Amino acid sequence: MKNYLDLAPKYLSGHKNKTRLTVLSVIMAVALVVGIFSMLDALVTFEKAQVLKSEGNYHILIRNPTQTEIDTIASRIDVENSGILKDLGEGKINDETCALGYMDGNFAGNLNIVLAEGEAPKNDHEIMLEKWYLDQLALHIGDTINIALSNGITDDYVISGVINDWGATKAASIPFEFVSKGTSEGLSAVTSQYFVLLKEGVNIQNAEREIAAGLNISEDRVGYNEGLLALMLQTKNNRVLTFYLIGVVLFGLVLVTGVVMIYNTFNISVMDRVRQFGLLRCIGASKKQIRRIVRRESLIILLKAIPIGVLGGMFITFICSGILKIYNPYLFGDISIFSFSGIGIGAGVLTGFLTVLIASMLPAKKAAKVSPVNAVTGSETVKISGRQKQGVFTRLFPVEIAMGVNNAINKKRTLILMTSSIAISIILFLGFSVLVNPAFMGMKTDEPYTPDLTLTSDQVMTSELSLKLSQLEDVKVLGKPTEHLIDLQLSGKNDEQTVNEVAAVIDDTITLHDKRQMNAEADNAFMTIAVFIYGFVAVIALISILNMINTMNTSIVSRSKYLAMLRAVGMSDKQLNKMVLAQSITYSLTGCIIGCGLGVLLQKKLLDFLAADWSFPLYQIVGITVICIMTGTLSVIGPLKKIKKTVISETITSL
Amino acid sequence: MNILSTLNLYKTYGMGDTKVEALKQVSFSVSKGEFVSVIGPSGSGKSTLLNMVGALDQPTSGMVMIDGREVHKMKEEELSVFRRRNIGFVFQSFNLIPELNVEENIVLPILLDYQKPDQNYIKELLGLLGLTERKRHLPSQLSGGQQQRVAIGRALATKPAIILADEPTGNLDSKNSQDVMNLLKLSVDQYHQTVIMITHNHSYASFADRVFQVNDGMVRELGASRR
Ligand SMILES: Nc1ncnc2c1ncn2[C@@H]1O[C@H](COP(=O)(O)OP(=O)(O)OP(=O)(O)O)[C@@H](O)[C@H]1O
Ligand SMILES: [Mg+2]
Repeated sequence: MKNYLDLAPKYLSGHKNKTRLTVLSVIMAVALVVGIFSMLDALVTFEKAQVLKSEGNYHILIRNPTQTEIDTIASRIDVENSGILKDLGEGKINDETCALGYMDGNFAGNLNIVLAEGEAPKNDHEIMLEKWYLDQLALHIGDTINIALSNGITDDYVISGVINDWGATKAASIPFEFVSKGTSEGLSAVTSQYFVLLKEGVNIQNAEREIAAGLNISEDRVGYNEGLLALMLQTKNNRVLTFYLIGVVLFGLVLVTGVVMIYNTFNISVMDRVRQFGLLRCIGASKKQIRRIVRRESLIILLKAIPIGVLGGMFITFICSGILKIYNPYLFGDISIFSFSGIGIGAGVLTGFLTVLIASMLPAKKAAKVSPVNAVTGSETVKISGRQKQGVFTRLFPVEIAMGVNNAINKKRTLILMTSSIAISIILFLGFSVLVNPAFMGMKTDEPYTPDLTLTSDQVMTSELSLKLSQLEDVKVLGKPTEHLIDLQLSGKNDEQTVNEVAAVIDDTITLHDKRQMNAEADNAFMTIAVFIYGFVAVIALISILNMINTMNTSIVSRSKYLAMLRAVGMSDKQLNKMVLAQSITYSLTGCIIGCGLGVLLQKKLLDFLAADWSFPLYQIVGITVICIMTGTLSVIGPLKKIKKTVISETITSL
Repeated sequence: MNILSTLNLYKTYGMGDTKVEALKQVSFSVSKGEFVSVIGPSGSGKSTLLNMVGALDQPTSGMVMIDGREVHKMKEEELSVFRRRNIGFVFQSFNLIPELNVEENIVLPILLDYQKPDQNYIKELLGLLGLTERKRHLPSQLSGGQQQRVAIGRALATKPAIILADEPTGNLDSKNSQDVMNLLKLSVDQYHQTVIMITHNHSYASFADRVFQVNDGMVRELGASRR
């Protein structure tokens, strides 16, 4: 030993059990934070990729811009890239409808218009089309194709390039043909959209306001890539903002949970050692030195716990992503299972450090305040007060239960620590469960008016037809059918057969849209997110339960001397069980009551905020109470076994 | 030369009904190199006196001077440093840090003072204490008497001006008690230490140069044999 601070590692290795519990608790807190933040990060990254794929990589767009507007915007310093997409109306190829358009080459990639082969049309009689259509017509680059343009002029065009399939058009069976800039200028555009991608770090809303004000562009001509802006936290969309706010509250709660968990464990560990600190003060340790010793202990614990906690958190993320991927390959097939989230790890490490700093500062202060007299007077823990209450409980319960309840209540600090630990977990649980609500995910798919089939026609559909349809078995006509649109819902078991029957009733002027697949996917998406959030909540619950067991363990282990003394003076094992159990249940029930109270309040506030209905979460409360009692019971089994195994004299002489 | 003196020391615990006057009007002085024993019935205020002298607790009124300095006037930080350099404590029980071995326990006050232990002196001390063979052992591996000897070694480690011992033999059998007494006596003779020791055993009290009797919070010196 070279330095008095070596006392810290020596103390920790001298109290392996206790140290292990403390480390475990820090690990859990760090893992919780890392896991949840990493998962959030992974989801945002994934969603961003999805949005870029489906909506394109742009921030704002201007509808039907003038050349001056285009020139002004393009020359702005905060614009990274921009380009115009023109809808040039319909054309005909072999009498079949196709869509004509023009896209600026430099922005095509941003809208996922990617050249697969050849090159973009440069000259007047060149054209670029989609791969699926090219394959369908069995054409190749360099072949010519006869197209009637929207101005009525029919001519031959040379295929100069092929682009990858462009999603929506394939489903609609309308091929998209891109013409050259020259050709596009000869045609009148139905609509045109000018897409703008701003530079990184630019405040998009400010830039948009500046552009609109400077060029006097009316609001209805400006559009946003909502999904992308939302993910960049630059949205003006109130709904999304509300949602984020709730996220912030909940993630704040996760952080607070981490802090409280670590703080409590540290506090308990320091409070047990009043006498030792007193002795140290007697032999000349200053307050500062005591603080340093406690802080050093925390640091050692941190260095042990953080790496494992980070790994644990990554593991949680791995499992969660895996579940998402396997459960719903359609939606989350592309999510990466091994994600390394700087934000998540950063948040975890930071919470760990900050928490331990705060968490050890207060107990260290407390430790430093220990008067040296404590070493002499021999009080093992902080003063016990409130003895007068003992009477009431002794009259109500058998003595050992009264003692247990009293032990719990009289040690105010331990009571506060244990209770807050339990309560905060419950609050977190109740808070997060608010998120499992389809109303906030914009996917209320089980509405009664969701159609399974939709019939559309350019020609008039008579009311006899809808009557005929409604007479079919298992078919319900939804709402008021119009001449051009009829929505149907299927109710029978054999949907396929019913669909065939419907198909048999209609003639070929009517198109049948089968929406069942799409509905199923939306349902599935909701289910996935629900499962996912429940997964979150389950992780939180699990960690909370472990933490509670852990804290209970710490508190019992730290009182093993006291318990050994009680056994020495004649308390039977059964009485000991009852006493410890009464104490632990007192903690868990008090925590449960406070947690449920505050949690329900939080739930109500969050739902009010979302303008949603709130009803008393009776099942949740009952479940939580049962779990609390079970955890309270579970957590005493281990330490009690250990205490009974040790010889009484051993524990007492180790004083 | 007075190493320790008190003047009109009062200590009152509690208020109203539970008020206890543990010390009343205590004035005495002790010279360097004296061995003082304190006797008195249980609850008379002996431990309270020692706590005041060791600046473990604040007196209600009065003054304690050690080595020419008024201890209760010092600020917390200053007092810690003063305590670690000038006062060594030995208690009846719970004396040692259980996680540290014998040698580490002994050098701890030196380390707290950010000094380097003088290896020769520590070796000498261990020899004197009869613990050379045991210096790597943990307190739990020692007998009560051995533990108490370690505590005395620790009290001697920084060569403090004064050693305060509260019933150091209270938990020990007569053989071990004798050892401890001899050690304390030795520290006075060999290192010119000043020792104030509380004891219930009158025969150990006669080891001392002076004997103080505490009764109901009042301190009175018995006409003991002066060297
Ligand atoms: N913290 C305290 N609060 C209230 N009263 C106290 C406190 N400490 C000591 N006393 C009272 O002061 C009186 C003197 O106590 P002290 O511990 O000095 O006695 P003692 O002479 O050391 O006794 P013993 O020989 O049994 O150790 C006692 O009556 C005791 O009850
Ligand atoms: Mg005493």
